[in-house]
Amino acid sequence: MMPVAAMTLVLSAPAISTESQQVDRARQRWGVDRGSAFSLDARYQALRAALDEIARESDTVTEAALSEAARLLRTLPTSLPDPELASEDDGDVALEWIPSRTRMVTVSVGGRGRLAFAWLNGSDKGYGVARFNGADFPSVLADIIRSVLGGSSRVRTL
Amino acid sequence: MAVLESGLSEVVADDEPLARFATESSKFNSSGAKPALFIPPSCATLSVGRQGPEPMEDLITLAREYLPESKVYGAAILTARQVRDVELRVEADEPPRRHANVLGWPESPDIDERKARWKLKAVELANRSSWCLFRD
Repeated sequence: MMPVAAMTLVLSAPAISTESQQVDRARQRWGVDRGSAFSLDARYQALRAALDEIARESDTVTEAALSEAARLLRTLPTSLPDPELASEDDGDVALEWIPSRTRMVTVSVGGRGRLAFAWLNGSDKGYGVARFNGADFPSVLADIIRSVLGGSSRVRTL
Repeated sequence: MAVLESGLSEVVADDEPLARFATESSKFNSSGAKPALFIPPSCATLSVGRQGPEPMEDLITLAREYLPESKVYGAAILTARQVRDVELRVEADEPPRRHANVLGWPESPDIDERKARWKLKAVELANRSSWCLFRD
């Protein structure tokens, strides 16, 4: 896995790397100007550090899961709060939003290009699978996370 | 009814407390256990201890017996009925003493569909659980 310091160098380098292209595309998509791009990078670096901590602590999480989780975190919309990260005993990485014990969303990242997720929103609950192309945060997931965080019941229960 | 070496019944009663131990700090937060704590390994067997939060010394002793080489941060506590309420099974499995497995995790030919269904179970277990933090 690429250490945080190395990742910072890649982000700062003038060369057009795949990762810097992804960041540029994200900035354009979310209308982020160059000033606030620093905070976008800082957010990613903080999440990346949390992911590195997961890698250090877990005996089970796979490199494929860590790599895909890093890519997914880079695409996280600025309109969503940071997820909590956790390892899972089957080797996946979990991204979880837990505003309360009755409202939570959990997303599994296993390096398979598909994200298994489930949510609880009061008496509503559901699960599903979203494709992840490596560059765009799945819109269906963003909608569910916003709905659960907002406490609304607009998400169709599967 | 058969009695196990631990003195417990072979059948796990609905009102028995079960402890799911956390050996990684990422699997709980200040409000309690995260869903990730309840995701079983690929063998679809979630390991628990037949022990409640009181007395705490007994819970910690059991954690150290099960996981002698790991730091155990705490335990999520559920009753067997709460596990069965989400359509999972609890079966005694000794040795080690007081050990049980949570079984009956949904199957699917699609690995990600199966995982999504496991995650819903994990969310429901996290919602029902209480949390017991071990002091250093």
